[in-house]
Amino acid sequence: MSTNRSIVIITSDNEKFTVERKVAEKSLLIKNMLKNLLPVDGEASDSEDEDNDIIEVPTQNVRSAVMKNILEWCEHYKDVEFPEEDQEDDSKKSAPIDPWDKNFLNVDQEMLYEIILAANYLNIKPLLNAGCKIVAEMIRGKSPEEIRKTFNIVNDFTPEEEAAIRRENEWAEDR
Amino acid sequence: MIPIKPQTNKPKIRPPRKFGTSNKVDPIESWEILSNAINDIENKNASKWSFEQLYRIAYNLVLSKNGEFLYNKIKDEFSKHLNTKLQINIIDFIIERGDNNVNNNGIIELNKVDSLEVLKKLNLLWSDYLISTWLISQVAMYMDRTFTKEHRLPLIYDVGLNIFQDKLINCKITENSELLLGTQILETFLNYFDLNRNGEMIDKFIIKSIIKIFESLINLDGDSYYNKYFEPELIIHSHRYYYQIVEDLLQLQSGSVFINKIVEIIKEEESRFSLYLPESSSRKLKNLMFNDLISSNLKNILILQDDGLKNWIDSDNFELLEKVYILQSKIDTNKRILKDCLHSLVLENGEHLKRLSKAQLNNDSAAKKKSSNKENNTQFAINYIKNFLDYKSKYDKIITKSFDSDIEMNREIEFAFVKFLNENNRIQEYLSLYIDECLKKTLKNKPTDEVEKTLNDCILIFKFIKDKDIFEKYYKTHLARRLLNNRSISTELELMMIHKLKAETGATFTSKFENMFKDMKVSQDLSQKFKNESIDNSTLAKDLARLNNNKKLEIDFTILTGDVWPMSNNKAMDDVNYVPVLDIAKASFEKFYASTYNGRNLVWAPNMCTMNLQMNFPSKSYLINMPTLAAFVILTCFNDEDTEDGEKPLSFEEIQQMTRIPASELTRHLQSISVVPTTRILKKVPMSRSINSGDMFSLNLEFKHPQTKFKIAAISTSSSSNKAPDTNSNNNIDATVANSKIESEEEHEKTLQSIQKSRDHEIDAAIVRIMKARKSVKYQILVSEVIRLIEDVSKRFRPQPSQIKMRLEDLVDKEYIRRDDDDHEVFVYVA
Repeated sequence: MSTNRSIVIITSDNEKFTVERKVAEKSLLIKNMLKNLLPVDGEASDSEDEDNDIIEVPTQNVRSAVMKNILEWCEHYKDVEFPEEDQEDDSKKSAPIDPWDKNFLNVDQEMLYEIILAANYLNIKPLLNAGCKIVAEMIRGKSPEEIRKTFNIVNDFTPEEEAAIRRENEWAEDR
Repeated sequence: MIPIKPQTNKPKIRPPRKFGTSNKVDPIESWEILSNAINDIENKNASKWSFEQLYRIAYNLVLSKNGEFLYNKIKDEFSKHLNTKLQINIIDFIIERGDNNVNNNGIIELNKVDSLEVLKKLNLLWSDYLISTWLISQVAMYMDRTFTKEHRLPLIYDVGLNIFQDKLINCKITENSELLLGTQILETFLNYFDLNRNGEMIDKFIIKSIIKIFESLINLDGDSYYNKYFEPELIIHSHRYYYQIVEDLLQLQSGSVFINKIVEIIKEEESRFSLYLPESSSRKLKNLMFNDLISSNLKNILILQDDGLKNWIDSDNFELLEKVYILQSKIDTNKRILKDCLHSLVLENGEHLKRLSKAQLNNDSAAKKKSSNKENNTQFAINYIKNFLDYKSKYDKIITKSFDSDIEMNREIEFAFVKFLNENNRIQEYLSLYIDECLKKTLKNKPTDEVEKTLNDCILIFKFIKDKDIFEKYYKTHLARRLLNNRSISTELELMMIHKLKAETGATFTSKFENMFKDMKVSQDLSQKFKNESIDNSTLAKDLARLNNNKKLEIDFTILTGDVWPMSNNKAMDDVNYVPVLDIAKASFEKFYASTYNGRNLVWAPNMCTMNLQMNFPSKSYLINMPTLAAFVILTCFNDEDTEDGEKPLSFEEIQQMTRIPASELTRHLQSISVVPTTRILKKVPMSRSINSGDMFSLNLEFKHPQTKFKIAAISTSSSSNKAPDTNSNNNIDATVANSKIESEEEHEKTLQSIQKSRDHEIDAAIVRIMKARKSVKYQILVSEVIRLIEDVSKRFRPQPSQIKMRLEDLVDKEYIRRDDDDHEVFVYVA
């Protein structure tokens, strides 16, 4: 199978994206799927022998608007090799977000969450990490009240519970 | 500092509600689909499923906190699936084909075809299982990424492999039997493997595949099925196999068959190991094999009398010896067993060498009966050295041809040579006699390379022998005889030999030999000068001629430097009555010598000379070369022209009085001219073999000899007379005896005594040298220094500490050194 072959990705709302295989394989899910040669798609496996055969990959968990973003990210990083195994590497965890990623993920919150979910589902580790870091940035330095506001969270602690937690975490407070 | 504890109820950021609600998951329903799909995958029938769909179901299950549920379900599914497969494909087959054919160990015995079938089925089952497990693990990839990892569980794929291993080991073949599938499979496999060892063709591919399965099965501790179950069994099996081979082979009692077979088996096994087994295992099995086949048996095989090392060496079986060497090298880089066997064999052969030399002697002397005991022993000594050299070259050949020119082996063999050569306390004398023989006879007209080789061989033995000072003593004696009797083939050869000895031990060792040559050369020139001078001196020439029947006197003088030559002055010789012509010659030479070398003292030794005597018998006249003293007897006592026919008998005492030759010397010279049948110039009454006082001698006028020119050799001292107790004949070698012979026991004893004496001097000299340089030395250091100086530097002998101690005490007595007042262990040099 030539590596430059095109892949058709079908989203939950049935939109089709034709991308280079290399781009699609930024998703480990798609990469493994292709590697397995699992006859997931009846039609695809039937016409496997033809050269200009098109492999269709359904991604039922992702809608086209999100997929568009995902693919833009994949396109951008198509020539970058990310380390295969994610060792519990602390330096990577605390590394600042790549400026391009930061700019790329400068979207509304809802889209951000959907991108994170899709990255999780499609198994795109670097994108997932970048997304999570953006969210973490949103939390950093904020008081519980502010965080609740940012994420639309209703305070469901009783005042007693809240006091108890505060006491427990007193040592972590900024003084 | 307060320890940072992980917070138990860490607030979590929940995704916005609306995403959660849209993905409501029913685990039972989801698993229903998945388990169907997994079944289809396992049965290679998954084409109708969409991978993405299955992945998404599994993904959603994990997202909805059903990870553990999914994990366990898949695990159960693997287990269920394997149970069925193993039962149908393998266990049922084994039971059907085995047909209750159970052996003592409760294992079902299968024939070759069925065994192969079982292994093939297992292999197929395994490869299918691997694929399906992998595919399933791909479906559950999200679970592995999150749930499995968070709970530190093994990846689902590894769980699959573990289940396989567990089933393979622990699955019972039937409900009520103890037989486990694992045991059965191992046994079946190993029996099949053994078929190959017994020479049958087997399916190599399946062997490799099965071993690969065993290697791939790794349990949670990281141990592979191969290491934990297979390898031990393989080792037991192999051990049994080797044991059987050895037992069968040992019954044949044939070393050559054993070695050849073992080499063959090792070769086969090694190729088997390298083909099938991983490196670590292959090494273990090789060790086992070498131990079972070689280490446990090599020694017993080598010492077999009829078909062992001895036999192979005797029959020059280089090929087999090489095999032995290679086998030995495999088990021990030091090659101890082979070395030990060779060592004792060489020692044993040392004995053999003696017998062989003796046997040759008996064959020879059967041909020429007359040889005396002494001649026999001399020939024995020469044979002994000759045989040793043959023997040595045999081993040299073995080392180059069979032992890969191994220096260590060579050293070991030479070590044994040194040992047995030096166990022979006459070896120094033997060697010197052998060299004597070579330089007198053997090497005559031989090509240079052969000469070179023979001399080198001599040096080789010389290197092996200890106590080289004893050799020096004999060599000096034998060399003196060769020189004085002019018996060497050539001076060049002699010098070559000395040169080689010098290269081996240094100049001090050979300086006396070289001085002997110098003496000979100087003497020649001196004789010539004297002759020229005596011709010029007309009165002297006239006197000499008159006294010599008007013939010119030919005379050669040999002047020997006192301490260089092995013989000492015999004072008794000063009294001997010289015949007039020689008396004049002697006196004039003394004058001549004193004028040439002022202040040197000449002592005459007529007992070491020979002369040519023209004797006119009634029938014929002869020119006879005889010892000078014998000639004196004839000229002084039986040459009276006036007496009728010179036939007046004279008694032993009368002769001694006339000639003033010491009794012992006279006895043996009389013996040579009156007892030895071919040279009986004098008649003796009574006619007995020994010379006794009162015996009467007269000229034998009927004397006849086939040649007109011949030589009368002196009879050597010891055989001439038992009763003549010659006081210092030991130090006084008899140069008139042309052929060097082996010493009798008594002579040898005396030689050793004199060696001991000269060793005392050497030790004294060494001690004084050390003391002079160091002034004060501790006892222990002094002893070791003396040993070093004499043994290593001078290469003469190894002094015994007890002897050194005695010399030290002697030197203290003589006040050359003294003990230190404060420390008795310290000796101080007295200047």
